[in-house]
Amino acid sequence: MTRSPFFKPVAASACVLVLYLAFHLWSVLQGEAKLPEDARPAPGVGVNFEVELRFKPESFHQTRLQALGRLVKVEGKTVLLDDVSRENAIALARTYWVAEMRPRR
Amino acid sequence: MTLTHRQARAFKGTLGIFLFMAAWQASVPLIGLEAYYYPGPIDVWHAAVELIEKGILPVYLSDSAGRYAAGVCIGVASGISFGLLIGLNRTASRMLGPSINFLFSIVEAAWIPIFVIWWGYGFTTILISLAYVVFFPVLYNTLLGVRSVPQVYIHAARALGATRWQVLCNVILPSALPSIITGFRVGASFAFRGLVFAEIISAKTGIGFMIFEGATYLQTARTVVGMIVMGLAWLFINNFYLKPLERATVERWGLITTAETRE
Repeated sequence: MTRSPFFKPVAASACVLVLYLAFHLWSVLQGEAKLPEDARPAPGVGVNFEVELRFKPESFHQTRLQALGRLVKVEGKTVLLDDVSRENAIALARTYWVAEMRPRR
Repeated sequence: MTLTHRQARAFKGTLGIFLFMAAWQASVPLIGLEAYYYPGPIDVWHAAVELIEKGILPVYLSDSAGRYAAGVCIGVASGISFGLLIGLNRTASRMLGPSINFLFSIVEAAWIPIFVIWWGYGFTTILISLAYVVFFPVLYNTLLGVRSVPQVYIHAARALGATRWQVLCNVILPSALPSIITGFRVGASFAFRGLVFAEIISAKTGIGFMIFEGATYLQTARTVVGMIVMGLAWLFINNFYLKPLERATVERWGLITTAETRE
């Protein structure tokens, strides 16, 4: 019995979709752990964060962080990021190369 | 235990890759150059792991994939449209033929500086560049497909009372489809080359940008990772999407005579 020629494209797309959904779910779960609900900024309020990466940031990471807030300082693996909105803070927490993030005064 | 034909082919392919990697790694100490000048497979592996850990490779790959898909879609749609127009309409063929032949000779790389002036650095320029690269193979193959339809089929359909639209949908397009799909496959492979070039010039993300940036900052292993990722991505698209699509089209509408149809 020969398979339909569309078996491969459908199977490949399904695999990619499953991998993407699994990765997304994992990102959401680890985001919850890094930034619990009580540590998140209130809607419409910008909060300053101390973001700890797993490595020294490269220009790629600085560009990504600048899109989420105001990058104030980089000290080794730590980045000080100001005026981060609630949506951006959640997106940042879900980013897997961010090890930790803490609100700072 | 005997291997099936497919298993034997896979085994030989894997063995070939393994031997190539072994020869590459063995050549590193023999050549004796720094890793930034001539990285070995182990350096490349470490660079790939680092790029994934740092989140660079997944983001660049998804950026490139999005641009590639959008550029190919636009190129294919416009190539098929113009191919049908030129193939079916003599006036359009005479009017557009010389211009298209002229433009075909101008490579996408020559257009990119002008695209940058018109649309700036970024997505639009890359999109137009890719669509341009894909456009010509799809157009010429569509044209070939349309012009190869035996006239007797068209006359037969017309004699049976088919309208022009019905002739197009039921005779010309199905006959031309294998050629169109071949053009699509060729265009899709050209788009891969075009993507790297467009991203080198006009992007700040993407695999093409990574290849260029790696060489600029003497992170040659990253450049090689980019090249390997491009190759693997092409193998994935070709084997899992383009080849099956071509097979399905040729089996359904192409000039294939199977035992079943002979009976």
